[in-house]
Amino acid sequence: MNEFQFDVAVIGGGPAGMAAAIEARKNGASVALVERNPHLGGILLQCIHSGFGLKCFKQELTGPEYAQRFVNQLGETDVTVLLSTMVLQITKDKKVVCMNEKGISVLNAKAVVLAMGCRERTRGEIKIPGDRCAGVLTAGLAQHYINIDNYCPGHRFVILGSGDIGLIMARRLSLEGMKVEGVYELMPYPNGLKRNIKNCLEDFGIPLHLSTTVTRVIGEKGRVAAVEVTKVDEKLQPVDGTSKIVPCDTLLLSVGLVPENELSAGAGVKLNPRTHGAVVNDSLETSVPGIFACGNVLHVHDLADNVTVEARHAAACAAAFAKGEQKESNPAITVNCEDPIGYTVPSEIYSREKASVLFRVRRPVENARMVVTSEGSILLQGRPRSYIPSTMEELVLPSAVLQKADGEITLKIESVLGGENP
Amino acid sequence: MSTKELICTVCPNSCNVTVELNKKGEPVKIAGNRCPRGEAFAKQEITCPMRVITSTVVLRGEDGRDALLPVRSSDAFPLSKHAQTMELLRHITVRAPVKMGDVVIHNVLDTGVDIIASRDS
Amino acid sequence: MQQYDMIIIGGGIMGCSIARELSKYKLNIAVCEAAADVASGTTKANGGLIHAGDDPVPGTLKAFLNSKGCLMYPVLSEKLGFRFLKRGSMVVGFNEDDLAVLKTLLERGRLNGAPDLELISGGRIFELEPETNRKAKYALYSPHTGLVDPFEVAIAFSENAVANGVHFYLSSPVTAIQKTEDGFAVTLPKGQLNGKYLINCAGVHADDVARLAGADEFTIQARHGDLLVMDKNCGIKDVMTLYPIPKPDSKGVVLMSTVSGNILVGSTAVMKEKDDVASYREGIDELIAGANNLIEKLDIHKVIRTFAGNRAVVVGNNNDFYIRPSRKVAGLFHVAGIQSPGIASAPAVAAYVVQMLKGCGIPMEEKKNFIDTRKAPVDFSTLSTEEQDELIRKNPAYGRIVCRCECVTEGEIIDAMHRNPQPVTVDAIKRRTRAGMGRCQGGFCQQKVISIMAKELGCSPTEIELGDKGSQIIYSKLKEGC
Repeated sequence: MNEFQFDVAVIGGGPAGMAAAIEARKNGASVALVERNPHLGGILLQCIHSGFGLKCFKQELTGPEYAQRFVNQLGETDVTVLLSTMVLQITKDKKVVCMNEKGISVLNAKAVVLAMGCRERTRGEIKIPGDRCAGVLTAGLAQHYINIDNYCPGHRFVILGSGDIGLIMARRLSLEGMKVEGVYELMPYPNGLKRNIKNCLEDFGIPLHLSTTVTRVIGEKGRVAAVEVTKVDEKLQPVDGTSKIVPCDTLLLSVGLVPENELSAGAGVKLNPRTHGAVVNDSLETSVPGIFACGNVLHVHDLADNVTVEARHAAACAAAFAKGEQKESNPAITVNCEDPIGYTVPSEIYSREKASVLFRVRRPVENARMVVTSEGSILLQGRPRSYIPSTMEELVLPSAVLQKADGEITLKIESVLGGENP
Repeated sequence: MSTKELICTVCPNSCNVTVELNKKGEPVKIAGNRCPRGEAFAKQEITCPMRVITSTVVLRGEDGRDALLPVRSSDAFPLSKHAQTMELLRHITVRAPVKMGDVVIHNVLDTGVDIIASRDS
Repeated sequence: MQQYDMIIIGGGIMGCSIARELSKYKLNIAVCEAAADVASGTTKANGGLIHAGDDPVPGTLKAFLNSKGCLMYPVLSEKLGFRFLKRGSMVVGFNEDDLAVLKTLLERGRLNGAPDLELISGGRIFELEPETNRKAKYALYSPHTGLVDPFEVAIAFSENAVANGVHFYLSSPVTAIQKTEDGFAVTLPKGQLNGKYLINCAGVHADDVARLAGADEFTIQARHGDLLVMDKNCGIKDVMTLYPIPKPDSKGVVLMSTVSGNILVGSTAVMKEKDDVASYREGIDELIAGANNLIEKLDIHKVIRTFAGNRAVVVGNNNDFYIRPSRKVAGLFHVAGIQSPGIASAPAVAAYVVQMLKGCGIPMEEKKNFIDTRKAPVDFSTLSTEEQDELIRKNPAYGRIVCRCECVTEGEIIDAMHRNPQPVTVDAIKRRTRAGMGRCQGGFCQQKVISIMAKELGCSPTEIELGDKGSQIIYSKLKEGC
């Protein structure tokens, strides 16, 4: 078994991992980047649509173009890139056990950046009853079949879930001449970005059915023949007598993404039950010192550009840790949030200079403002605006707010119409 | 007079834009956009909607094996010409090696935009 | 036309264990299975509990075969290389009425010869299984309840049977049976087989097969059961098998850890059409409620799969097994009505069938060269790092991960493809290697599995099916280029 030493080991070669590896190297660290597939780029390679890069490159790129730019940048560095290499285990003391065709090797790292991304929720998780035939697949798998493998996985589709991958696949299938019968969404609002509703559904005349879900898969001779769709009430329960049979041969599921933290959990990293990602501080450091997390393994992002920005921050902090630079010695400020805010990243802030807090709301809120309090006193109030779950929001806390915070801050979004605020 | 509600797709802000149209269907007032690009988008969207197209073409590798190469249009072009472009792309085979940005179809359907490779292969 | 001494119809755990047992004798044996793989019917929709014999009504065939069969598993597990764990079980009671039932069960178990049963109460319950619902007051503890993976067992039997000369005909539903001078002519889609004797192990379709052979002598109804499987990281692990107070015709919703480390909850019991193996919302709700009765709280967001299957119930047979020579057609033997505890009884059933055949005067001469062991396939995920390293250095295919959730390598899939009976569907590969059985349910690995299979089978990926006949995954190539 071979052993290697690196300052920083980055796990995952998608958008987060590539940006993290480049940034850690820029910060003077020796870096290994481990990717299980034979190519860098991760899920970007199958996201052939455009919409990437507006923030980081000031132009609209496709997924492969966005990836290629980082691949090219990496090529100019001396980062050690291990392709077709699977990480089997990460230990608390930052030994990264990997395997590839040559055997098992161990990377002894001073710091680790977790960038493993996420996976799709499946039929099993949402427990759709009915036949267990072929023709039920996640939108991401269909995307791989169509954009990478050159396979036609169906002719007549129903899409469950209005997440972005589902919407983008609706357009992709239509462009390739397949029929999309409709997109069905359990919630009373769409889950994808507005631009995708317009460009992917409206442009192609694909109906979006809100507050409706698939309640049964009907198979015939081993393959999907139809699905039963049913309206749901406010409690998201199917309403009797509203079912309809929609003939199709394929059911695509775009019903959410879950960070893949099995390796993190194995290293003893504490997870946040709301994000399914690690609990981190404002250096994006997890509960295990020297293990950092970024990108969709930390929390599911809306845009790859935001992943890149987050990864750079995690990598700079990881490189500093590897060099033995001291962390800020201020006492921690715990970040709390109240409904409708679903979660915040980070959960703890040490800096008193400036801190960025990312969050999402659980449901759409109109005409409401951000209020930041600490032990009951208001530190910050935003302007009234709307918030939607599909957009990840960033709140930058300035030094003045951090200085005033008394051990904790709480983020709230309060309706302006309610009149409960002076 | 009539109004039309649009979602601006220029950037992820996704502004809700309201366009007032005169009897000829020409835009006379545009509101709701947070930047000038939104106004330009709305005007264009009313008259001739434009989109970037992305798809794939068959790529013959240096080993003779076929794979897919992701491609895109170099710029937005009329949505009305996308179906015909897709048909063209279905019957093209590109030979490796290819660099990102290499032109696959020059001036597709006389639109003035090219179909280009989305990555190195 | 192929000539056989014995034709076994049905390649579930019964057909496979009987085939293996009969292959100890100088007999030509064929197994015809309608599905594309063995263990595809009732066998696969099963938790894999090896009951210690405490449940069946004393004096029944079930009770006799269960208590014998469960004792055979430890040795078989060693010989045939399948996993067998003894984890114990508790039937959990919450009040005095339940206690009365538990006392009856204890009595029944003792009559059946189930060893070391113990009626316990209070803190002892939680010492044995801390996850048990805190409201539990009494429990019937059975330390010898075991666990297997039911398809792993059936596959092990089938592979060992093949090693001993048994022929398996997969994707071969029997469409007609004719009585001939010296036996039967069995029609399959691809031709006809001649056999002197027929053993009917056709599960829920055993009555249909009997009728094809001219023996309209029993009727089977299907008792449908929903099951659900949890993520390995669902918060609870390695639980002792927990049963509720049983219902008249089923053990109720059981919660258990499988040999692979998933929590499994099952099954419901509702009579339905024979071929209806769809899962039902009411069934899934019942499972969740059932699990939450046995433990404190099941995290329903960690369900990775729901599925369902049918148990065969012979009408008017008091829920007992129906294993006997046909009343109407000589040379035909039925192994029907196999419901729980079918897996636990399977090895004993095979031995019982051999005795039955001998008893009917069928000449059976033992082979000298019977191979009684089977080498288990490599399970990469359970090897030590050193063993993994060594294996990869010998064969780099073991260094290529296919299924990341379950850590399954290309080497394991290729190995499975070279076994006999050969798996030819994605589900058959899943049952042998666990590729696609994890939390992403094949989202990442299905395309990899398909391309490895197509390469090994020398066919197009479009020909690879998921499981059942017609379960095409990919219709065609998307674009041809020029």
